[in-house]
Amino acid sequence: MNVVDLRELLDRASNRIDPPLLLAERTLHEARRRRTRRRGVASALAAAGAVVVVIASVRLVAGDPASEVPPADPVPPTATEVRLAPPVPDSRVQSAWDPRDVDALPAVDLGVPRVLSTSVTGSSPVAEAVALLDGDRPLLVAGDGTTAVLDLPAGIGRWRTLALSPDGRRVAALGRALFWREVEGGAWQRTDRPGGVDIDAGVRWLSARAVVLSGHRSGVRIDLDSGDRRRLDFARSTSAWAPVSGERYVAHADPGVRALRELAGDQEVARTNLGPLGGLQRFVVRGQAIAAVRTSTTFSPESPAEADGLIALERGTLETRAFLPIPDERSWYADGGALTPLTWLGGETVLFTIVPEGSAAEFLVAWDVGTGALSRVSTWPAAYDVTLATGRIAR
Amino acid sequence: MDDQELVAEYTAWVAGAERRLLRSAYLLTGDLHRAEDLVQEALVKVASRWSRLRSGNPTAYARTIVVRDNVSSWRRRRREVVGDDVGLRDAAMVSSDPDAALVVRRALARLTPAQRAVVVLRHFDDLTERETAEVLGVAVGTVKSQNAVALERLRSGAPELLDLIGRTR
Repeated sequence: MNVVDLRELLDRASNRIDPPLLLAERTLHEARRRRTRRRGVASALAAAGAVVVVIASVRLVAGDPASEVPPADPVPPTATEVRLAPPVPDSRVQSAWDPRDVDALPAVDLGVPRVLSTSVTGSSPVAEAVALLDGDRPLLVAGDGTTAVLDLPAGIGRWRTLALSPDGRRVAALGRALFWREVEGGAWQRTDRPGGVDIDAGVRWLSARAVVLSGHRSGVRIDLDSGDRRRLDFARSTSAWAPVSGERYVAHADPGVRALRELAGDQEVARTNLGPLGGLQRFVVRGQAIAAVRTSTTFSPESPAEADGLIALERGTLETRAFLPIPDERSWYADGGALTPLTWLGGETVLFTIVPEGSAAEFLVAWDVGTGALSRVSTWPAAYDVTLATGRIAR
Repeated sequence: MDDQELVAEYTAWVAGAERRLLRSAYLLTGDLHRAEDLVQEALVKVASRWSRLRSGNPTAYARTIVVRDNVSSWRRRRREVVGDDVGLRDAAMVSSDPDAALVVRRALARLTPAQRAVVVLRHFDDLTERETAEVLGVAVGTVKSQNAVALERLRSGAPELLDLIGRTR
């Protein structure tokens, strides 16, 4: 095959694709919406004039722009409380950290092997796993570093995603159906994929007995013992959400609305507009503490408090407990998805994963939100998709 | 430059870049709806930072966001070889040659996301090895090796692709 042939073929294979109508106007409108939320009411009024300009230009182009303009922020009918998050105080901003210096961090032993090996070292299944590495062949890793192959269930199909339970004792596999079994062995149990959960959905454990399947349009909670299913509209694969406890969740509002919602089941009970916080992605919750990736929404960040980075917040008020700025000129970490909070250890330490820019390895790092101290916990090849038994770490 | 001029400038840039970005995103994902989501989110990020990006290379920035968002998403929802869940009718929506579109889609699905990104960036977007490395955040040597492995994988694992090339020559 020569590359000219390939180029011609790639061109031919996509030559009828045309962009959706009014893409510039829609994306500009969305960008303004995100920005004006941050700047508050006064500048929102100023920006509204410019939005009118955009809509007017749409009329000239399309004639019927009404259906193309994103709807106004929906008013939650069941919300009992709406707050506005305060800005990040300079006093809570820690020294910026460049993840490319991760090797220089001190190592800490939290019961996870310093390096997750992708070589099979054990001939029998592990009893409990601290990590599941999903690559060409899925691997289970025990706390002592023993690695064993996880055999996939028959009939799972060509598309699948795997997840290890927080206690490290069970594994779930979602493909043509949902399968699960004990890590140490036994038969796979199976239940049909719920309607409305699309083929590329993901699976996430809520506890040792319940999972959520997150599809593009909605999520479904499944109790594995009883088989009970409950639709969770907020638990989409494209939206940030996290369990709190029981039936409580924290979830990002609808796309285009920069707010964090508190939910009881599928019912919204409180909402906090993110305002000057910017954007929050990929958050984890423990009690009253939230950790998230913070994305700047300013045109030109002028201070560390306006940068991208890792943020620890008080749930409900969204007051900043600590902010760790991470230089990210090329949007590798925040927008690019290479930075992900994983869990809280106690109330003071956040575990997060990061793929330093240019690195072929992913790292598990501990962040002490009180002191700003960072420690290196573990590492593995970035080509693997890893879930960790968060309930077993440093138990 | 006032706000109206910025809007006009951004709109003009989108008009010139959107189709190429969308086709590239489609080749990366094999899913037109997913491609539209990726491009739309990338353009929102460009629009948010337009005053900073306008004097640089906003297309490169948008392309980088599309590629990285896609790899990031794939890592969260790992998939094996794509199935035959797209028929000729769907393929006809993206290509004047639906047979070729199906073959290309299946062939690209045999690659890892990184290999696929290298193939699309190098051979569809015509980026240099260095430009491709910058988009992916990897070394130039990694691009060279990924490209070689990907092309070999297409040669050995997707003979229908070779048949198609032979048929059209």
